[in-house]
Amino acid sequence: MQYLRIEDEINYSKKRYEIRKTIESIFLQEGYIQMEPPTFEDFDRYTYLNKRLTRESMVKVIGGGSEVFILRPDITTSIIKSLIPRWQKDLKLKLFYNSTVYRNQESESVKEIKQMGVEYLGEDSLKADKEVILLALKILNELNDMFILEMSSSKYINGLFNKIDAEENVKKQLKNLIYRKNRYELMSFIEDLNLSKDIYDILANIMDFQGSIEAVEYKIKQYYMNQEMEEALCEIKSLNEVIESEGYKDKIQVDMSMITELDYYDGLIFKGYLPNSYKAIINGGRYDSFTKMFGNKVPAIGFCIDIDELTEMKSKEVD
Amino acid sequence: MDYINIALAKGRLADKAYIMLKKAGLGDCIDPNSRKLIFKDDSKKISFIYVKPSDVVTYVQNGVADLGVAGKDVILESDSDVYEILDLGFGKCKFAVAGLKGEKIYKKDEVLRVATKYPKVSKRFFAEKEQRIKLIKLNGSVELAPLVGLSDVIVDLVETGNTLKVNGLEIIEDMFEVSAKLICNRVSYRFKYDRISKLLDKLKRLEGQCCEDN
Repeated sequence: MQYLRIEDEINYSKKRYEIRKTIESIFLQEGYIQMEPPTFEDFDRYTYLNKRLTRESMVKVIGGGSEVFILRPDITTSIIKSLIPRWQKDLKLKLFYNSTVYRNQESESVKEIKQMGVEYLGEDSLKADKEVILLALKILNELNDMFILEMSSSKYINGLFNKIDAEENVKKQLKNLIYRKNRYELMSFIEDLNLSKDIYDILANIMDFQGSIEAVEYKIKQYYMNQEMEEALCEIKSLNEVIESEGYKDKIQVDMSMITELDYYDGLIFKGYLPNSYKAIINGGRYDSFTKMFGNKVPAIGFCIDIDELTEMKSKEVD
Repeated sequence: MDYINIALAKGRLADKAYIMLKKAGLGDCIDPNSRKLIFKDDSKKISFIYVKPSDVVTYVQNGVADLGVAGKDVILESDSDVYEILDLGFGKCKFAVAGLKGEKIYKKDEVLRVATKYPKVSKRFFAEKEQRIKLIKLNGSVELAPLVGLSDVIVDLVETGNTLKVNGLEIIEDMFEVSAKLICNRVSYRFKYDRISKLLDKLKRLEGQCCEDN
């Protein structure tokens, strides 16, 4: 953020400090340990491991021997990359970070993005899912009790897509249409795909599969489900119990057509929204299969908080 | 209760959007002859803002407007992250590649010069065809480019094809159709889900009644 007046800048900074303190104290209370990943990463190795970021978006730095480094564009990858290859059996880690990532952005060249977040590694899936979703709810509630948490399990869409016999780029287009809730174009797209009737019916109605867990369960049970899709429903239902017992039930919106920007999730996915913000404040999910790329498959779940958007929103509230 | 803010594009789509809203019983507060840019309906808790077509997506993505009426052409060109929740059925036209009449000029082994107002759309289209191109970004009167030798072809929106014809150009290839869309901010979609769904139902019921082209 850039301000003309020093006073505004100091206020912004003060606000941001308060927010970070609040969140950090919740992390500490819940037993998370702080970790600071390295600032520099090897360009070639990083792009090999993490293909979803474009090469242009990474901020390059030239080392003394003309090696090319990048400023870390993402915290989770950095943490996973340094820990998973040395992973020891039965290790359980609850980590948090309060950090900055760097990206090249068209509009303002190098952008510093402030993020906080947690990674819960090595714990049996359901237990960690419950703990992490409750942590996210607790933080959102602390920030503004009018929040909404959107959740799903990526297993539902993945299970469905495994049954679709089409090329990878067709599936990608399909996902993109669902991501944009573009029902009209989705309908004409699936007309031409020669899908079996049960798959077609799901895709045609998938954007209605949202609301409370009971409503969603009722809807999706009328359609085709394979084992992976059943698992998705199961996961969400078991989470719903703890959410209900903690009194957050009315804050939850289940949306089975939810698709995340990052495609490495395999299980629970969620986004936290606050009123008066224009994008998600919390983004998270389970990413066990992402850890496999680093040599060991370790249960892993985490989320990330957009501190910049949060601070800006909170500064506006004061005015 | 909060207002629902809707961004409308000035120009090509404005009149049709107004007619549609009016039929749905939502646009009573709009005076199409006024030069005002903001209209508010206090009883229905809806407000409308008129912005430049290419800015509709920006207003919606930044949450200043919850909903917006924008052409698919603008949406494609803007790399936006919004929901496209309804096709409004009006403002139909198509993207096409056009060039000088009689000259079929796709050249796989040479660089094709493409003049356009829509660099992203053009880039994507030719990348898929594996045709190498040199992009020439223009802001208007694109049809001129092949005539004066600035480019080999143009990529533009074609409604009737008249402008092409009088300038001695013809369509080489149709790309795809576009029409007006109702777009929605991702956060508004969650917080105002019920009201937006109701509004959607109202607009859906209009389908087939209005919005005939030209």
